[in-house]
Amino acid sequence: MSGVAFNLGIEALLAAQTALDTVGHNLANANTPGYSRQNLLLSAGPTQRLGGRLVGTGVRADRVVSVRDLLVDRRILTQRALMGRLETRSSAVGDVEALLGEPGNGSLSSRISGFFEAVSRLSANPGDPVLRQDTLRAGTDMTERFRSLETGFQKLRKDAAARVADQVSKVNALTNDVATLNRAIAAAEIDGSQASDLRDSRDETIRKLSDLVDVSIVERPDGTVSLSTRGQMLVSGTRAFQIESATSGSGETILRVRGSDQPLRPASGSLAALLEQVNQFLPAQIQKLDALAKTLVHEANKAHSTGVPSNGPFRSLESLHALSDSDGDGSYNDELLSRAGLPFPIQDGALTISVTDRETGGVQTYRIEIDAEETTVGDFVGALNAIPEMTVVVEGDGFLSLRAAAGYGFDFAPRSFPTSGSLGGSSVQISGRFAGDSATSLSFRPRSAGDIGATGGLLVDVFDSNGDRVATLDVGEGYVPGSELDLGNGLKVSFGLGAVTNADTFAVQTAVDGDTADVLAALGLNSLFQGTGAADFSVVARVLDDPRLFAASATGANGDGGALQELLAISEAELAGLAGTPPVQFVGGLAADIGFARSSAELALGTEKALHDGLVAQRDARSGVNVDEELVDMLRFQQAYQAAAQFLQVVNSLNDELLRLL
Amino acid sequence: MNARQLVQRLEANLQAELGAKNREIETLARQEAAIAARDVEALASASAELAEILQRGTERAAARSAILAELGRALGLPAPVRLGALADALDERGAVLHARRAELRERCAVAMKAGRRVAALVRMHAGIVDETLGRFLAPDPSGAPLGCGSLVDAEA
Repeated sequence: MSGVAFNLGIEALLAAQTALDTVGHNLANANTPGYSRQNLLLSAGPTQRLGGRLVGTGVRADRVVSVRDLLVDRRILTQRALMGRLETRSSAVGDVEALLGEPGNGSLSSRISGFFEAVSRLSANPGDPVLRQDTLRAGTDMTERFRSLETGFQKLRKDAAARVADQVSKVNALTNDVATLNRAIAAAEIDGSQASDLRDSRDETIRKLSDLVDVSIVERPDGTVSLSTRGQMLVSGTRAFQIESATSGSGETILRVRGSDQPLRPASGSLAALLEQVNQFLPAQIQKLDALAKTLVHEANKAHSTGVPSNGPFRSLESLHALSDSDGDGSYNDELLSRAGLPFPIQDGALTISVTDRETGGVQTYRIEIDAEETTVGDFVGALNAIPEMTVVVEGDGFLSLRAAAGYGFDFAPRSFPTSGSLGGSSVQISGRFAGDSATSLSFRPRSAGDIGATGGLLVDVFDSNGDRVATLDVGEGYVPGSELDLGNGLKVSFGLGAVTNADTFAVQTAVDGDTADVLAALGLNSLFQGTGAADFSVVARVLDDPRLFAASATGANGDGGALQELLAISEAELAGLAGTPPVQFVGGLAADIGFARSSAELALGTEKALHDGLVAQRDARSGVNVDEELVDMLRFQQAYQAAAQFLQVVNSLNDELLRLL
Repeated sequence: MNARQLVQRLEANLQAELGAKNREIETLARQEAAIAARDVEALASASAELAEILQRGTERAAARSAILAELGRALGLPAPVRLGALADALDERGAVLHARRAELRERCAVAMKAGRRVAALVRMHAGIVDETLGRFLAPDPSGAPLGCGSLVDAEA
């Protein structure tokens, strides 16, 4: 009996010591991330038969188990993955927002506005060389901002790609850790016990992993877990599958499990956000910036290319963009002009070319019709070469070279055509630049027969293309032949001496655009800007070198700033390339979209964080260690033991005394 | 009071002592179980009951000493008077006392064993608790006054 009692005491002592060790362990890990409170499970010892009686053998420490709620734990993992994605997204969008710096000094919108303001100032005094320099400087500032933004976006993309590689390494290290812990847990739990601390370590490792990628967990009977992401295995028991980043055929950064062809696409976690940043968000911003730059280049060049430089018509001009020999037959001539590899589109329309005799000032205007589906490079060059005093060749490298004969110059100003002709026996000269909204044909018809400048009451009616009379000119007695009469919309006409009848007619085609086919902008002839995107957007070097080449005039006349008006109109135009918005508004929309994306991410992050905190509180209520509670328990034990020890001392002394008496 | 009356009172005292000893043994067993089960409430309750038993035991011991001293004087026995010598001196009447003495010795031995075992358990558990508390509630080596903040909270 005494042996049983002794064993009972030892078992009880061991059980109690284990329980107290568990309390101490809980206390020691109160601040350990992911630690789950442990409890000692006690059970009654086996009953022994002793002297014909069944005798209990006291209490035994069965096993120490973690107090945890698997459902809550899994939901926390999901929340962490969502938060990881939103945190990274918010930070990434914040970086883009900071880089864009809208609105503010030096921002893209302020640089674009600055350029158009400079154009506006110059339009008031087109001949002012200082204002001309200022405008080119503002243009340079604007293009530099485009380039720096593009460089910044590319750097953010590169940094994000580097972070993807870094996080892939972290994922691999963590999955290795999980596999190692799986092995240790399986070994430790082979006797049916629970390796709580190892499980806590594994849980914490999985928590860290779920910050990076979303993981699904399946626990096996041997205590190991399998982890997978989007159906692809990351850890299976004691084996970890490494992932790697690679570049897809389309240039996207992708993840895949080593040895697998299937791309791994995490739905949440910071890796998902980084991939989104590298493959979608930043390319989209760069694409928008490129679209804006390309639209500005195209629109500005369309306006500028038909202007006339301040030093007069060109003697020679070379295209900025080379034609391509698409069919590789060694000749450019057979290529369709609209499909000859030029960076900007060519449409149906006409190119107006005026050749000026520098000595006499006489201007001859020619018109080349262009059909986007018919006109070949050879047709176009041939038409240009058909113009007297013009020589046009396609150089071997595909660049177009235009030259005027000595003593002549050329330009592409939107002059009315023809600028001269005859009405009966009278010569007619048209001057000025048509300022109407749309091109029209003007027909001159005398009302009666008579001599210009001699016959009293001799009137010439002017009809537009709709047959409506738009002007009546008195060219009879009192009119000085050769003097200009106003036709309205900036055009003037003069009649020479001669007889006319009411059967005579003279027609002139007015023009609002010297290049309705946009062939000049496509070829890069008389361009202000060059480039096809933000990265190579710049002011044309030859214009920067010689600011007189800034073609501000629409007619070549001194003080004319007609081309600037067209350039200025771009600032307010609803541009098709920018989804129908003016440039500055487009930038504003870009900044607003990014700001919205950031605030959305932050809002969502706040919501997900609140959910996460709630789940963690729920988990801690069940699994967390309450230090005060544990310590209070310990103190109560301490007091109880102290009291018990005192009484037991009295018990012993009284029993001693009694035995002495007996 | 004559010798016969004194013997009757002594027998009653010993009977009460036997009953108390059985209660003491039961209480010690409860203490042991409470320690094993980490049931601090049961431990405190058992300890309080033991205190009450001990209080009454002290009173009985005082009464017993007085009876034994008076009987010793009446029977001419040298002091200190022991129960065995007294029973021998009482001849036939001493048989009951002999039986009570034997029972009491056996109960007393059981109580002493239980007391020692529980005392050993208490000492060891107290040592573990002291060590654990000392580890967490020891004064902060940096001397920061709030170094024992958890203890302050716990006491409150």
